[in-house]
Amino acid sequence: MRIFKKTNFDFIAGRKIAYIVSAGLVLVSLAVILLRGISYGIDFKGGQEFVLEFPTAANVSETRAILTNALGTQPEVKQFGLAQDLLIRTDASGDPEQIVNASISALTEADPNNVPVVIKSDTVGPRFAEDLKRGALYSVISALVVIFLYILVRFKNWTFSLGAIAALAHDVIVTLGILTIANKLLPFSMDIDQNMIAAFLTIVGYSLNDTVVIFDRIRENKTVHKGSPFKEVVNRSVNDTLSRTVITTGTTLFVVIVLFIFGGEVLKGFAFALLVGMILGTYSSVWVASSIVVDLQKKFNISK
Amino acid sequence: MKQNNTTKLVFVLAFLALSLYYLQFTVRNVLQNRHIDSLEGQAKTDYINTNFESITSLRERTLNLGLDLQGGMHVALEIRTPQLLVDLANEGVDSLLTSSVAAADAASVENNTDIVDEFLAEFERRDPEARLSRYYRNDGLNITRRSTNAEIRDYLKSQRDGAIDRAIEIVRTRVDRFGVTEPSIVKQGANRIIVELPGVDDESRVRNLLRGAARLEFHLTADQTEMTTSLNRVITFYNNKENADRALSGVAIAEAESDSSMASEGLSSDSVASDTTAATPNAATNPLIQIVLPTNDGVSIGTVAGRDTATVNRLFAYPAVRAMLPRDTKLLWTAKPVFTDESGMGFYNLLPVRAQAELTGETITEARPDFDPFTNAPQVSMKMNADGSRIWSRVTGANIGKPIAIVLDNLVYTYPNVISKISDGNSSITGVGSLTEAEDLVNILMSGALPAPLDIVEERTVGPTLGATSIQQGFLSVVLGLALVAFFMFLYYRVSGLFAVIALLLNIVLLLGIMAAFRATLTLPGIAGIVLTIGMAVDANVLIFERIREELDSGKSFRAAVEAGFANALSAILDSNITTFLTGAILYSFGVGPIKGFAVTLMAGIVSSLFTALIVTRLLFDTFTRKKAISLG
Repeated sequence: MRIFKKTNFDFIAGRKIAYIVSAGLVLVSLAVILLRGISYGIDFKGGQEFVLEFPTAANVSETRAILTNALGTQPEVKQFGLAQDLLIRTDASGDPEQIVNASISALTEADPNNVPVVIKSDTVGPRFAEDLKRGALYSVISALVVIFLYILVRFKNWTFSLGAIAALAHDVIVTLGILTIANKLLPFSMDIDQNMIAAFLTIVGYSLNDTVVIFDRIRENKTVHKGSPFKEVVNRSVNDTLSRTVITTGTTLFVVIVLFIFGGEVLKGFAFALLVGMILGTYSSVWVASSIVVDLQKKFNISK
Repeated sequence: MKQNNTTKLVFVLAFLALSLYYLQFTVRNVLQNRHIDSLEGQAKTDYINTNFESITSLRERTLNLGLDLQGGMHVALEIRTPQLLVDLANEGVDSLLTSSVAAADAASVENNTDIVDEFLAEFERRDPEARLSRYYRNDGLNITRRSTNAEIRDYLKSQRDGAIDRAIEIVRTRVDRFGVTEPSIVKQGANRIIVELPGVDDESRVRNLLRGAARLEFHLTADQTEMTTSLNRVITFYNNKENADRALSGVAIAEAESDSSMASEGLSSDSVASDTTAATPNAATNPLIQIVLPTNDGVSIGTVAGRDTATVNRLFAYPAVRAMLPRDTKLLWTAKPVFTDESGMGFYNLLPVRAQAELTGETITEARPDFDPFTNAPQVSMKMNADGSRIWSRVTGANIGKPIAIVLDNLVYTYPNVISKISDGNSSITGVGSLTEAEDLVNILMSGALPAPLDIVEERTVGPTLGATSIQQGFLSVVLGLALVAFFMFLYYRVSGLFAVIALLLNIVLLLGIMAAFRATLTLPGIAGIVLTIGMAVDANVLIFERIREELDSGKSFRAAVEAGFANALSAILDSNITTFLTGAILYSFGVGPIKGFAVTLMAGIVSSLFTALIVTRLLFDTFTRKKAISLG
């Protein structure tokens, strides 16, 4: 079976479309991020969250009302997978243990036949959250720097590095924008926490993987088709690798979808981010990264 | 060529055997646990006793499961360095020192720097002439009046490092006495301890056990009349709403201190509530009157709901208010709620005591859980050494009829009135909730006092049922992912696809084998990493197959196309895997806990998929295409 026999799409000629689409996506994402703000999980914000499991299904808004009353401040209450599991996130001040106890006793009083137990609880102090945030920031920055340098060394040309990094930045920003919008619409948490940082770095690694395969082919085709203009070499390379790009994206998306559906509540947001990011990453590798390399080389008159 | 392939085959088989060897411990462990679970009562105990050694050795060599999968408690503790810096000063602690420490604390958080360096900078900024040696003189450790500030800084750093090491030892002792299977206690950075306790289900016990500094102190309570006067002044001060707003908005220092044990040093204040009417409080806006309920035990300032204790701390920590309170007193909360309302909220008494302790826990030679002979309530009975007994006898003799607060880690457990002089060095901590708690207190007291309090800065608990569900979901995802990818590869590449599937299966075995051999920990994100690896591992094969197809299209013979396909795909495979590996390594070095687990499986997955794609698939191709071409779909 073969999906693409021998393609000859003119990606490079149509790169203006890619630029417009991508610039639009990035601008909208940035606007959304700036307007709505990034919604941080407790890892980076500090605070307390716990999952209560009830014997029978619990009502989200009723629970919220009861807990608002008991804690003196409105907590965030979300379903956690099953109907009898609720995730409660609160910024109520005081001893974490007391907050949990006060919540359980208030709920017990409201319905003595549906007494919850804590099955998961996380508390992160504000200073610790600050450190985690710093660590996450460092890891993203150093990932980008290391990637830039590796490509520079391997392809001996900064335009490739810049093309790859621009595509990565595009993927990360647009994924973040989509998560920010989807966070309000979908019933599972997509707050930015440590898991999400792992997801973002995986997206970066994955998108880069695609980009590097194409770059590698460009490097090879430059020597094979010596006379051809650079533009054509790039276009041919993108087409040569298109089949592989699509197949690999396909198998990876299969497993990410499996994770999303069957991986459980803890991994839902993580898998969703991967899903979005990988689709974007494939698109940007094929169309954005190489286009940028072409334009940069033209602009700076790099003949090789 | 043939020679080469034999070598490869030997390699592959050797790695496979090694992986299976490391994995069989895990399989045997699972089977054994199942067997143990199926046994009942006495038979179970007998089985465990007779096979104790083999059970332990299996458990030690099995693939580690993270706390998110097996359930348990993860706690990050931070030693309170600011307090250590103040405590180390043995003479003349003044506002220059305390304010430098407070500023250094804030700056070190802000800039992610060592608090000791910041302390020196802040200190010198405040008074370039001043010398730290005037606080930290210690002839025994060769810190003299002439020691330079830089020398003192090094001394403080070494003291801090020593303190954290001591704290780790003490935490270890406490955890061992508590009895947890395979706890992990490691240092993180300069001032943190990470404690992982698998299978712990009593969080509040562990919490108290870990952070208890075991500073036992006996304090006289503050002078009643003096306290009342001061308190009235404070109430009048807060009648002015502006004052209250100002006190409640700022004062970051007070907040930082208020996390676990609320009362901290320097927070000197007075006994409050006894006569509140004299100050004609404006009850509607006065924050103190609103949240502090009066008491009539003649000692406490008042009773406050657990959720409001932080606010009260802030109100009393406001500098102007602090100045109104008698100099030599501090305010402490009771350890236990004095009562609990119907919603489950505990109420605590606020107690003014003399800042200087009459006696400390260092004189305690023996502590044991016990019962009060009259009420039969659990308590901790303690014996003092000769020095302690002498002081205790003097203090009790001089204060008959007055209350003495018994304070552990800045929380008041009890404040009984002295009935008679105690000369035999006996004392007891009453007001303990249960015998278990009395046992834990004894554990804390006897494993030694922490050099400075530990604060819980991060705590994550996963219940065993959620962990088990996660394992099931993870396992299901792995199997389904594998099945889907295998099916697709076979559909798309036929026989070659089958080779890729064999390589993929081998890949998973090797991946788990690597993890078991290096005793890496499998976490839920780690399982996600395995699932991702399944999807991405075939990439190398896809690159090779697509390349072979291209070579075939260009008219090469099958053998030549295979040869060229492998050769030409190599650089792309290496480049793309190395970059992904690098991101994994970065994730590993910055991430913590479960995320580290993800990075580990990602990296191990890359290594094993490179190996299987380049060696195993190649071997299969070479073996099965020697005589005839095979289908590439």
